[in-house]
Order: sequence, then C-alpha cells, then structure tokens
Amino acid sequence: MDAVSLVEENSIRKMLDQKKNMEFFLSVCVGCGMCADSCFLYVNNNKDPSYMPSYKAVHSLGKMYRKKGRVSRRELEEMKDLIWDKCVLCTRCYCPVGISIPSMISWARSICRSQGVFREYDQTDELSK
Amino acid sequence: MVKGKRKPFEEIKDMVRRHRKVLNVGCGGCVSVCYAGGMKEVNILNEQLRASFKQEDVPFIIDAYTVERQCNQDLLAELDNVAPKYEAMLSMACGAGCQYLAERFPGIPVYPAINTMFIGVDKEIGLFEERCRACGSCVLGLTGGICPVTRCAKSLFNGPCGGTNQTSCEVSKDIPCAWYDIYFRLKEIGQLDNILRVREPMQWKNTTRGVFVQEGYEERFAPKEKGGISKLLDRIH
Amino acid sequence: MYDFLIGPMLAVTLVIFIGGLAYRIHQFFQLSGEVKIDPAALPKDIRTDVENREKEEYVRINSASDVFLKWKIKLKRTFLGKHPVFSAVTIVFHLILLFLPIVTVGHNVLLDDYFGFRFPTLSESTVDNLTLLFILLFLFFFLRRILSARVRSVSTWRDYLALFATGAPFITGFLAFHQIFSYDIILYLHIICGELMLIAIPFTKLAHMPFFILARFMIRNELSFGTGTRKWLENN
Repeated sequence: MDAVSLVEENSIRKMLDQKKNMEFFLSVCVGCGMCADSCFLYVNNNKDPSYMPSYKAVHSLGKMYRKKGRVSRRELEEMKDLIWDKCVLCTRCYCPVGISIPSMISWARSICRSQGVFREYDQTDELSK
Repeated sequence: MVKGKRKPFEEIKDMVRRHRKVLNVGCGGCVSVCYAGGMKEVNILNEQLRASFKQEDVPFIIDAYTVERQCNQDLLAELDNVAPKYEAMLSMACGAGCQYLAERFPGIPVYPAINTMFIGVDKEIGLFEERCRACGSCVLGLTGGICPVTRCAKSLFNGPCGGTNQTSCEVSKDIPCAWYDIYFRLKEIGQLDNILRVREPMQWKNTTRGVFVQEGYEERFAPKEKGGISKLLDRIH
Repeated sequence: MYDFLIGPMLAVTLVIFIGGLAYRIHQFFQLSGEVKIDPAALPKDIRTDVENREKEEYVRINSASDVFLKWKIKLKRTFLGKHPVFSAVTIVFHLILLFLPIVTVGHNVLLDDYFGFRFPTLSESTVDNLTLLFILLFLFFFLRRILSARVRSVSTWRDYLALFATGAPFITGFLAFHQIFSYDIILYLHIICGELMLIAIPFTKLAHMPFFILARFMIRNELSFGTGTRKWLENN
C-alpha cells in the first residue's frame, strides 16, 4: 500500500460505530494509571509511559473516536508503532474500573489493517529493536 | 494458542533446590494469555519460592524477567546481559520456549515451570479446551471443520468405529462422538459426499480431547462451597 | 436564591442524576449479554485439582507468623497487596465521597424537612475532620495527575473536570462551615457545586461510579470480583 493513498474515513467511522461498548469504555477511563504495572513491557522499558496499556488504547482507538474517524495516514502510522510494537496483546492488563483494554487495542489494530496499515513481521530488524 | 498449566509447587521447588540464585523467565505469548506464565504468575511463583526457602533457612535469591516471546531468539536477546548473573533459570513458557531458552544459554541450566498441555481455545476465563493436536496433515476441509484427530478417542480418519452409541463415544457417555457431529455438520453445509472420501490412515496415540481449568480459576466452575475470608480474597484481583 | 437552589433546582438535579444513571445502566445491559457456562464442557476433576492445590504447602504452618506470611502472599496477588498505599488512599477517598454527604447534620435537616426521615449523623467535628482528610486526598490525586508522568500522559481536560467536580462541593462545604469569606455566597456555591457534581456523574468520567460496579461484578473477566455472568456483546 503506498503512503499517499487516502484514508477511507467513512469505513473507519463505520467500524467505530460497530463497537458501542468501546466508546463507553473510553468515556469512563479515569486515567488513573493503575494499569501500568500490569504490563510487562512497561516494566521492562524503564517505565516509559507510552507502554502503559491505557496510553496505548487512548492514543489509538481513543484518538479515532475523538476525531470521529478523521485520522490521517500519518497518524495511523504513528498508532502502528503504539499498538503493534508496544503491545503483544497478552491480554493481562489490570483495570480497576473494569475496562477491557486488550479488546480496544485489538480493534484499533483491525481498523488500521482495514486501511492497509499493519505490522510487517518479516522485517526482522524491527523485531530485534 | 498453546495452553499450559503450572507444575505443582513441590516439583518446581525440587528442581531449583540446588541453586542459590535463580532467574524466573516469563513469556508474554500464549502462556500469558492462558494465565499460566505471564508476569503476574512469575511474581506469584517467586513469592511462594522465596517464602518457602526462607522457612527452611536456605539462602535463595530469585528474580523475575518477562520477555515478549521465548520462542524467538531475537526476543530472547534482551536476556543476554541479565542471564549470566544467575546460576539457573526457570522458564514459564511452553515446551518450545523453554527449549529455545536453554539453547540460547548453553552454560546455564533451564528448568520448566509449566506443563504444556495442548493447542486449544479460550472456552471461558480460565477454561481451555483442546482443538488441535498438531498432527501435520489437516483434514478439517473434508470433515466440516470438526477435527477427528482431537475429538475422536481413536483419532479415526474414516468414519466412526463400531462402538459409537448414537451421539456418544464408547469411552464415556459424556464424550460426544466426533464422527456423529461431522456427519450432521457435513449434512448442514451440503457436503455429505466428503464423508465417503477415503483418507490415508496414520498412527495415533489414543487419547481423548484434553480440557483443563487454569489453577486459581476453579472457583468459577466448581459448585459453590462455604469459604470464609480466605476464599473471598481469591475473588479479589 | 437559596429557596430556588434547594427547591426546584435540587429536584431538577435529582431527576437528571437518576435519569442519567438509569440511562447508563440501561446502556450497559444493552451492550452486554448473559452467557452461561456449559457444565458439560467442564473437566471432571476440578474438585480434586482444588484439593491438591490446598495441600500444596509453600508455607509450613507452625506459628502465627506463618499464617500471617501465607496471607501476605495471598494478598500480594491482589491489587491491595501490590499497591497498599494507593489502595488505602483510593478506598478512603471513595468511601468518604459516598458516605460523608449522607451523614452530615445539615443535609439531614433538609432531608427531614422534605421527607420526614433522616439518616444517622456524625458529630460536626468528625464531619469537619473527614472533610479536611478528603480535601487532602483530593490534593493527592490532583498532584498525582500533574506530577506523575504516567498519569499525566493519559490526562485530558475531562479528567480534571471530573476531579474538580468531585472536590469542589467538599472544599466549598469546608469553607462554608468555617464561615470563611461571605457565608451566603460560599453556601450558594456549595449547593451549586454539589448539584453540578450529581449532574456530572452520568455524563462525565464520573460515570465510572455505576460502570465500576456493573463491569467488575457482572462481566466475566480475569479480574472480575467473583465469577460474573455477562459478557460484552461484540458487533452492536
């Protein structure tokens, strides 16, 4: 997929509308930061906030909801770093309020895939990073 | 994904007994998804081992490190600076991950803390059921998506045995007959002719389909009992 | 002004609050569905598994301190054991938030006037001290939001709004009780802030009040309290 092709905002919006519960999740996330310590990538990477589960969800799927699907390809590429390279979907995030963070990240991945943005696993230098 | 279950505590303790400084390596892949070997379980096991050796007045140091996946050498690379400081390693990954970890550090003994169970599905939270035995010659396309290898007690390739009793297996009334299910599924999708196609036989170890409940998740499925505050604590996360 | 605030305005507030809460609960039930566990799919040896695990002795029990140790290890699996200070702060904060307004003398006088019943009350000095404690915990949360990098990285204006909507009624209440500044104006502010907080609960991030109870007790999840009976419906 070439980098200049346009993002289909309508299809993103359609996918966002499909998951009403995730809109609900994002509207109740109080940003308490307690999910951080349950993520082993956060612990392994010097407690970098961008590895925090809620950060990954809020700045990918949350951003799409805030912008109502009007995200640029550039933004999607930025999200790719967040939801593929910084999350392995081990599904073990802790949320005191009961939000399902992994399902939000996986849905963000699906939306990115639908726009041709995805992790290329054959790029090994990216793996060993 | 691959499903695993933690070994009994005494078995793990006996394996690491002769070492004074151990690294417990978790895996963020399949075993994390099935609540057996993620960072949380690594920390729980470490706490238990520490307490246990402390009671015996044996000096024992155990640290935790969870890698993304143990079945990939690139991802094991981050252990290169950490592992040599330890006498031994415990691997909380599946059999494949444990072997790969041992391969990367030939000088350090590696012990498994997980029993790898099967390739299965997340049936419920903490309940996993076998769906694939990795036989290497998939016939699902001919059997309507129902695996005769995993589901049939004899892993029969070409129709049910004589012991089939209406809907159930001759091994137990509680086990449904795989070939009965295959027949109805094929009928439903209009591919009943597939059942007549002969598949080459293979040699199988005879076992029935595996299913297990992850340790610590039994309360969700066991009949309710009186428990007290200790049981209540099990229900807080 | 005063009569308007504790009369029609209060009625409107309560209608919006209860209506909004009902809407949120309705939304939850629409988005989730009950899923039963199929007993036939369960392995037959659950009970022996549990028994074996109970027998597993990672701690030999010889003295009271051993019992304490075993409990400590058990507790360390939970959030309470992993973050004892934060747990204590958040539990105390939320308990005061929920119960202090109910046991305040002044509020119960109003309640008695309207409906002819009242809750048991705490003495005014206790309420005063608890309010002060609440304000300190509020400051803790506020500073945490500003200073802690991980909390700051996910904070938006909505988080500050929710925090201040919670803190304002207590701060103004404290000021009013001690008659700092003009009593009348502070009292009006106190009532307005309290009513705004109630209105805010269903529509801001404070919606985690109903959501917490529904999601953690009813949704079946690794971290649910108990087993849970429902699951989120996909594709709604």
